[in-house]
Amino acid sequence: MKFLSVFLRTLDKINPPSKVYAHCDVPCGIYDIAPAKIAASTVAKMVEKIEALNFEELDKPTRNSFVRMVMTKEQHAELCKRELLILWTDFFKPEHLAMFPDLHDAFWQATKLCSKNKQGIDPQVAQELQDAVAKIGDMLMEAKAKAQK
Amino acid sequence: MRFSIFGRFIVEGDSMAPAFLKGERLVISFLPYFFGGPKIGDVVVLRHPQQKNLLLLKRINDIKDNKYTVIGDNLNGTDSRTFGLIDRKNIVGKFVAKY
Repeated sequence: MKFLSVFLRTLDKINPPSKVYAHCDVPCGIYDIAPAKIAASTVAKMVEKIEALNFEELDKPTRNSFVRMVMTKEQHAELCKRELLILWTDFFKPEHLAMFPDLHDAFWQATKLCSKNKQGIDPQVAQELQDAVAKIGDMLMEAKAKAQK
Repeated sequence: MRFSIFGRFIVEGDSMAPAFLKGERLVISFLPYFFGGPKIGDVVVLRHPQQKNLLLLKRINDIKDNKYTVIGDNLNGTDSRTFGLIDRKNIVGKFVAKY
């Protein structure tokens, strides 16, 4: 066995082994607006469904639905924030600021809207979040298109 | 590299520590899988599903309908939680020995 080990190490000196990554942070390089868009749409849908609930009837099923909808809204607003932060911190680089001078503000406003959607139940705010995410999606597409040229 | 009959690899990164440490040299082979498919618990070298040139060292955590869930021993790595289930064709070979 030792002979085999010596033989293989000698072989490595002539022809180095391939690297195999057991890495903690391999950048996958996959950046997409879709998860943030879906999360923002879910928030809007939950707001719509909560608004449609009949609060005159506070029976158990209605209360149960209400709690579940609020939970889902909360979770997806958080998910949306996380997905946006990944794009902001990992995909966009300082050179993108030349293309999009309002880049930081767009992300700041969008992530703040995630929090605002957690705090309240307002269709207008939910729509604003969807619009903000769509705007960032456009920036992402434009930046990717430029990188491919 | 589609399959490796007998390949030499050097570990980069810590997601499989302490079983596999950075700099350790491994022999990987697809031969064991000629006589039976990969099994849960096997340590395998696989091609990243979205980055074909990137080879990863992971452990098979689950198998369903010929799709494999691969996870690092340390749950802070990039694995099936990030890139989803993998096909058998992505598996380059099974860990056989260190040298």
